[in-house]
Order: sequence, then C-alpha cells, then structure tokens
Amino acid sequence: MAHAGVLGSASGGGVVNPWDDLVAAAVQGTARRPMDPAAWPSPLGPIATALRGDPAVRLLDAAAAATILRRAGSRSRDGSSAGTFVAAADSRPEVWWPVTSVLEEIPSLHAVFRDAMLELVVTRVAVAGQRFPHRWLPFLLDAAIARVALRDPVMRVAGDRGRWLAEQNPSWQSLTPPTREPPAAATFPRDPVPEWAQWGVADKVAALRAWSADPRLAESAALEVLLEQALDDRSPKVIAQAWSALRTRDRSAFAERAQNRLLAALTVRRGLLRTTVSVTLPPATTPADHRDGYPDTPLRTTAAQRDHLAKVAGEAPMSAWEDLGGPALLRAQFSDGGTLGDGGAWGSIVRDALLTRMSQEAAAGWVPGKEWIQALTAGSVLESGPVLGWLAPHLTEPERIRTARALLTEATVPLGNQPSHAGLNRALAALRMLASLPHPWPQQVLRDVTAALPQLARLGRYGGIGDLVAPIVLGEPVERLGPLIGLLPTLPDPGGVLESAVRVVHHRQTLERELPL
Amino acid sequence: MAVASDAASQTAARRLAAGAGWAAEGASEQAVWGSCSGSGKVPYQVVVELAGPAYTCTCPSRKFPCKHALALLLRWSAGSVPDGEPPSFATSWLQSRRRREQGAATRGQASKGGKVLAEPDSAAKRAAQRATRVAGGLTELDRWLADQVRNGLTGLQSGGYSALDQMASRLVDAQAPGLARWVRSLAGVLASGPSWPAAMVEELALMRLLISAHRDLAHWEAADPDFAATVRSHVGYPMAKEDVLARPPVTDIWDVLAVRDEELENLRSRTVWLWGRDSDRAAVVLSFAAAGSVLDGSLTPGTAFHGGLHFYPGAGQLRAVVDQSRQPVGFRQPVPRRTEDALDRVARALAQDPWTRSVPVIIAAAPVPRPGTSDRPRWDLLTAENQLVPLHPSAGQPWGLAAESGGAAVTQLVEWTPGGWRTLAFWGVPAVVAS
Repeated sequence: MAHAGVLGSASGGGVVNPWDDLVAAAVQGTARRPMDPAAWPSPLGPIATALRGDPAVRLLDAAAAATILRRAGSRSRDGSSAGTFVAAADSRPEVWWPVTSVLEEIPSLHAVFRDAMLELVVTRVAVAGQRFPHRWLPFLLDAAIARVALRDPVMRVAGDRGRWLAEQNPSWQSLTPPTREPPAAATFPRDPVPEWAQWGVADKVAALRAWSADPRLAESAALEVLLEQALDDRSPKVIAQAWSALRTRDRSAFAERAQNRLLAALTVRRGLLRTTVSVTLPPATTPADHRDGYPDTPLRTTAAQRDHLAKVAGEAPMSAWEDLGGPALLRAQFSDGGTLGDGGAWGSIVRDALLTRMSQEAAAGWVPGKEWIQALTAGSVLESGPVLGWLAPHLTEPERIRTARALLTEATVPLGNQPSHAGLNRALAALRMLASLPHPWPQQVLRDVTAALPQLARLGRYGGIGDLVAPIVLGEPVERLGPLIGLLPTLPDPGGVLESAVRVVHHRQTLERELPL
Repeated sequence: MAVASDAASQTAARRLAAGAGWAAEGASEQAVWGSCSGSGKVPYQVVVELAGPAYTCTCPSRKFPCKHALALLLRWSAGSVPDGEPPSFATSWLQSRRRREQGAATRGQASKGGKVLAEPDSAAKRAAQRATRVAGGLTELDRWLADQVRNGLTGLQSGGYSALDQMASRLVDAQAPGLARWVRSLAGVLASGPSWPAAMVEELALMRLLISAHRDLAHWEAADPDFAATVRSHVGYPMAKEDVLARPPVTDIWDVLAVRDEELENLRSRTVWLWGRDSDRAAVVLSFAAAGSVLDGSLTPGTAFHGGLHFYPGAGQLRAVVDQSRQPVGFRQPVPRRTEDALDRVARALAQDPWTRSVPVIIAAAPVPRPGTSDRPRWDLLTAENQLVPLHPSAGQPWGLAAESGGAAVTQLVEWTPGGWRTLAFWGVPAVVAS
C-alpha cells in the first residue's frame, strides 16, 4: 500500500527500513535505542537527518513525515489475478417487496415455524421462476448449511449467483459439491490387515466411519474382520467407532453375541391370557463382554443391573426379538426371576430399549410386519415420539386417521379439573401421526384438532402447543384456516408461538397473492 | 450529551440526573431550570436556555457545561421536569442574555452599515485567555509525547488507561477538547493487536505535528487561514452553528448518498454523506440526539436537492450545515472515478489536512476475499481497473456486498481511512467508470 521498500514494513537485502527503525526506537525508547536516519534511504533519510534537537522529538517529527508519506502515498496493488470470478447474469425477475418482507420476518417467527416457512417461501419463489434480491443470498446459504432439508429448495432459488457465491466461501462450498463417485468402496482394501496396525487413530476412525456407512460394504466379510480386529485396538476412539459400526450389522458375529446375551437374560413364557417374561442377569460381566463394550463392573447394585439390562436389550438385533416372541413382548408381564427387584421397572427398561432399537432398525430399512403395527398402535407406546416418527409411514391413511382421532379423543378427557400432560402427549402423538398425511386433511380431523386446542393450551407453559398448530397453519389450505385463526388469539400464548402461527398464515396469504401457482 | 466536555462529565451527569437532590425544577419553551443539592449548604441554581443551548450554574466547576446543567438536560429530555413559570434566578439570567444579544445585534448592524466598532474588551480578553490556556496544555502534551518516546512505548502500555485519562483531563482543563478525545482514543490503539506500536507511533507523531502547527498558528492565520482553521478544529476550538451559517454557502445539486447511525452510551449520532454534482465535492452532515430520541430524518439516501451547504471552516473540510432553503430534485446515481483519480483525491485531502481520518471517494469495485482457505479471510476491493485496495477490518465478511456485485465492479461510495477502505453505499449495477 505504501511506497514499497522505502516506508513499508518489508525490509531486506541489508537496507534499513526507516519505518521499522522508527518503531523499534520508539518501543525501546530513544534513551536506550536512538534511531539511525543516516542509514535510511530517500526521501525520509535526508528529512530525518536534517532534524536537530531532542532525539525523542526528532523521532516524532520524522514519524510524522513518514506517516503522511505512507498515507498520502497509498497505492493500489495489481489485482489482475483476482478478477477472474464473475457470476453469470441472473435473468430471473426479482420478487416484489412483500415477498422479501416475508423472508425478512422469518427469523422473528417462533423457532417451530422458521425452517418450514423458509422452505415454503423459497420453494414458492423458485416455482414462480423468480429470485430474491442478491443481498439475501448469504442468509439463504447459511440456512441451507444449517438444515440439510433446506439445501435443495435454497439452491434452486439461489440460482447461478448463489452457486457462484457458495463457491467463494469455504463455509458454503459443501452446497455445490462436485459430482463424483463416493470413494469408500473403491478405496477399501480387500485385505487390510497388514497395514492397519500402522495407521494413525484419526485415519482409522475416519476409515471405519466411511466404510461402515457405505451400503456396498454392508455384507463385506473383510470389513467385519477388520471391525472385529478394531475392537482390540489400543485407542478407545477406534474401539467406539468399531462398536458403532458392528451393532448395525444384523448377521455379524457381534450380533450373534448380542443375541446370546439377550436370550440368556430374558426367559419368555407364553400363557393363555398373556406372556410373562422373567429377567436373570449374571453376577458380573466377562472379558468377552468388556470387548463388546460392556463396563467391567460387578452387577451387584440395582443401578448397575439396570444399565446392563438396557445395554443387553439395546444391542440385540431385531432377529433376536423376533425369536423371543416379537410383538407380544410389548404387552408382556415382567417378573424378577428371583434375582432382581421390581419386575415392572425391568419391563420398562426392556420395552424402551426395544422401541429405540426398532427406530434404529427402521431407519436402516427394517419394515415392521402387521403384528408389530397392531401391537404398536394398540397401546400407550404411541405416545413415544420416536416410535411415531418411523411408524406412521407404514400405516395406511385410514389407519393413521383412525389412530389419530382416537388419541385426540383420549387427549381431551380431563383428569379432575386440570388437563393432563398425558393428554397433551396423546395429542402430540396424534399430530405426529397426521403429519405424514397429505393436505388437506379430512374436515373432521381439522375440526377435532381445533376443538382440542383450548383445553390443551390451558397448560400455558407447555411449549409443545406449537407442534400442534405448526403442521396445520403451514400445510392446510389458507381458506380452511379461518376458524383456527379466529381462535388462536384467544388462547394463552406465553411463548408467542400462537402469535407466530397467525403471522405464518398472513405470510402464506401474501405468497398466494404475490406468487399465485 | 454531545455538549459535554468529556466522558467524566457525562458519567457524573447521568449519576446526578438519577439522584434525588433536585428541587424547584421547571421548564418553559425557552428554558429549563432547577436547584441541585451539592456539597455545600446552599443548593446550586442551574438554568439552561434551550435555544443555544446556553448554561449557567452557581457551582464552582470550571467545566462548561457543568455536570449539573447536563444532568438537568437529561432529566428534562426524560420528561422528569414539569412545565412551569421560571423563578427569579432564571428570569434574571435569561433577561441579561436577552440584553447582551440585543447589544450584539445592534453592534452587528452597525458593522454592516460600514461603521467598524471596536471588539468588546471582554471578548478579546476571553480569546486571549483561551489561547494561553490551550498553548499551555499543548506544551504539556508535547512534553508528555516526548517522554513516551524517550522512555519507550511499553511504558505507555503498562500505564494503561488511567495515564491517558490523566493527560486528557489536563487537555480538557486547557480547553483543547479535540486533543483530549484523541488522547483518550489511544486506549483503543493499545488494544488493537500485535501491530499496536506502529499505530501508536503514527498517532503520537501526528499529535506532535498538530502541536507544531498550533505553535505557528499566528503565521498560518495570515498565510493560510484555511489550514489555520483545520488546526483549530482538530485542537477543539469551538465553532458556533450560527458562525457556520454565516459563511457563504456552496450551492449545488446535492445527492444524498449514504447514512450511518451510531449509538455511544446515551448519545445517538447520524452521519449523512452528500455529493455535489457540479462542485464534485463531498459533504458530511452530522446530527445528534439523546438515546430514545428521534434523529434528524430530513436527508434520505436516494434523494437530492438543489441548495446551499455551509461548510465548517478548514482545508478540505467535509462537515457542513444544510441551508434551510432547498428544492428537491431527482436523485442521480454518482459516476465512479478511476482508481488512480480516487487515490489522488485521497493524497490531496491529506495534503490539505494531514490529520483527517476519512476521505470519501466514488469508485467502481467489487469486494474479493484474499486467496486462501480461511473461513474468515481479509478482503480487498477489486476496482474496475483490476486494482486492489484493502478493505477496513471492520467491514468483516462482506458477503452481502459480494452477492450484490457477483464479482463485477459496482459503483460504491467508499471512505478512505488510515486502517483501510470502507464501503458506505453501493449501487448494484455493473458500473461504467468516468474517464
């Protein structure tokens, strides 16, 4: 920026840099380290040499001259190599300002609406073949980075200018990935054992993570051998990654060991009226257990026994549960088998572990049979959000509607004078069940939900009310929302979620007016 | 609080305004008054004439306005002072001011009529007293500067803010508030990172240059009155708005290009940048308001008017006051200049005023991150002639501007500062540069 080599900070070749000399003398003090202007080049050297008097004052006068020369002598740098990236022109028309206002207000909405509203508005603009003012691109790209679900709609509306911008910023570059073959299968060695021991911990963890996530290696015996070998690694990180990978492989030796532990712990007896299960745990874990991730702890205390049972139940593959009796276990009566305490508590542990395992298996592609569905929709297990998350898509539409309406009816039966939290949980379960229904919902369902809201909203501090109204105000046709919009302002709304719901409806009206489909 | 002579007065006034020692408060359209309990038996009597504003207080403080007057204004602006009839101490002071003003008006008319009247002795005496005080303060500052450099700047670092505040307080007493603010701002330089010594040397050296120029003020008054006014302005000599309005206006079509609002403690400020089409001159109009009050909104970016601007005296002075009579006209986007022309403009501005920290120019440029893989790179402006100038670090990560430009040069009003360039406004159409 300054006269290079004369006043700037760079020095070299044995020539004294005046500015560096000045600053060094000022920092150390001219009483200890005077400046040496005789060695300075022109123009500052002669100026400073001509100064007389107190060395400190001379330094300040020379520095004043240098400062003005540095500032007034500012020069630009050649930027020929920096000017090669110019975005292509975006010929799409810019949206009218009311639509930009909708975008602008999204951050001020309650969190429960933000992502869905953003997806709604960007999709609508993209479908209309329009674009937002370019200054909104950083906001949109940040949102797409934060939420995977927003990536496609955001990148559609961002257009060429958005892709150009994303390529400039390392934080956004993952939004414009180059298309290439995933390398994991290609790089997985057929016989990895000889080199594996020499790999670093980070490389081992990264490789195990990549290989175990690759569906083409799901049946690979070589990978299983490697994962078993990794269980004996010295690094806890490598071992943890191996556990994580092995527990997803249903027909592995690891799964077989997990199945054996479950069968040893639970004894099932099928009666005429109901199935009973007794639980028996060993007095302590074995070295084989430790290798599979169980802590080296005597199972004497109730807490240790509970943890152990939860792990045994959670690690067992679905095939093990099928062998034990499948859906009947969800309604089974548990006993302590003579060694444990309260059988009901063990039943909860086993059921929770089973439900969690089912969610994980469903995410990996397991499809529940009809008996499982009957068992799951019949009982209170439906109030468990994770179950509904994966179960609903496996139900037919009439099954979903019937189940949801039944849950809503149960939800609004008051217990004494107070609405019950269990009721709210049932209402939320109903909404989760309905969430996967295409809009518009049957009129009767919408009426049921609207009728249930006042009672549910009486639990003022309960934030889940937003989850109740969000799918409705975001998904139902605007013209059907009149009764709901009339009702919401009359309900308790300490978190401002209902006020946001009303604004969402107004925003949707704006979008329909400005960007008609 | 803009009228406060220093931060200490502001702090004391705020504390006092919140206190319970006030009595006999009242306000009319012309003035606000009250009595404030002090350390003595008799409460201080405070009056502020709102038009000036002008102040009087029976306290012994040498600061002007004193903390009692500032506190009374704060209470009035917060709505804590009721309307009422002024008591005798306020009435008599206001009447005496009226008489003095009438006398001054008569003298002014007589002067315009061709009769040259002698300056009142008291005014000349006050000016001489002030000049002596300022000179004394600057001599002390000169010694202080030399001491820092003689003993090493690391001592300044270990001395911390209190050492700076002590020197600044002496400059306030010496009626050099501009330099006092500057000395206080050195705390920010100390905290500016590893390159603080170089930045500190620049600041101390320019202070020393200002002291030298002030020492020769009589010479500059005769040889270059504009430069003398620049020196006086940086030292902190006051300049009444009516004196500025009395200066001949620069009449032009003024496009309003940019506005920036800032809030510091309880004071809001608004800076508006204008550009004269024929004069090719930049101007800055400042307005202030207490926190919570509305700032002057009469100048809106994207508008233009034909009218006069009264510039404050000084070489290359940007600050101006808008003449009341102005006619709105259509806004015209400014035409960017070549990079070299912009840099020459900066050099000329610094030649006129070596202490300036802001030179507005209009260029065509796009922000570009410096090459590298950092998530938070430093940025440059790449001009239409493929020249790079550094953006000020306070620009942060200007992705919004990058998105608007798409990598192509767009017209920008930018501000040169010693720390880098700052974008003040831009117009998102690829620019055509004036030859």
